[in-house]
Amino acid sequence: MTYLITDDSKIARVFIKNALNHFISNDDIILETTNGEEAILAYKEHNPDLCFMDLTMPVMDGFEATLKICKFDKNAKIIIISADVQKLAIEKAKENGAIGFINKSIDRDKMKEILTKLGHI
Amino acid sequence: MSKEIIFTEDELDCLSEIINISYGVSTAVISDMLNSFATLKVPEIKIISSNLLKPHLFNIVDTNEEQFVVTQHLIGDISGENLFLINKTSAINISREFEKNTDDTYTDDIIFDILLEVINILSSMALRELSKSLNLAVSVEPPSIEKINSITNFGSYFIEEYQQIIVISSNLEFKDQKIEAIFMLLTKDESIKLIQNSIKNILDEL
Repeated sequence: MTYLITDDSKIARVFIKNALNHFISNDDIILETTNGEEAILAYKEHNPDLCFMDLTMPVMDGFEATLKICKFDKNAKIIIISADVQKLAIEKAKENGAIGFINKSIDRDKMKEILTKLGHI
Repeated sequence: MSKEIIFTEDELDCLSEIINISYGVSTAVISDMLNSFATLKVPEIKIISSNLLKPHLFNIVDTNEEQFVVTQHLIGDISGENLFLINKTSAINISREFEKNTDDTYTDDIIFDILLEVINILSSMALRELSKSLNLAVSVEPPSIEKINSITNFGSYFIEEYQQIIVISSNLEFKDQKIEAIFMLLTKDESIKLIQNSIKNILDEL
């Protein structure tokens, strides 16, 4: 499996990787990008099985990146992990194609819940 | 003279992330009240000497516009003051969102009341999250407000004296009304050291 983590904060990416590492094997690949634009390029190149996407980022935010990735691949699986917990933000992200939303900060239990829902574990 | 406290790149990144989460939660409360979507910007965080605050504000605030200055005293591990700067256009825009006057005129008294209420909610929620994330105690006193004609008149609003200040600059843009605010956390060195130690503990656990 290939996972794509997109967040401008290195620490936030470490939190996500740490939570994810509990449930993946050594053969799985984790890719990291720091904004929406990089995420789109990485998606097109590596076709990841699951993406974790922040919303508030420089260059291109997660709303736009989610929309563009989902236009490119209607089967893309994007989970938003964000501090932007406005009801309208969650709705907009889902309208743009995200299949799930996790409030920051991510931990092992939240990761387990989302991976279980998706049938990854 | 106190020694300058230097944050590493990772420590600043971690602090930025924690502040992002804290203000994200509080913005959501205001956004839900208004039923209006707010675009959050990545907050810019600087730790500067207090004597550099005014020059810093000159770089980030329109010097010709009237400003509303809201201060709130903080007590506990994070002791000091929360300071919000909101320009007049933003202040009227946020007042309009909360109270729709038929003649669309907003006196300073109306703006004062609305800003105090909004900032009290924003600040209390954000500090509660900040306190939880950093495992540091903090409580707030009711905020007070003043209006200044220009940032050039920005003077001594501070209850206490500070050595270093954490300046958090962020814009809130609501869907239909542009609202900009600058938040500042004014703390003494002891509190900044406690914040830094909490962040070191978080990073050590990673």
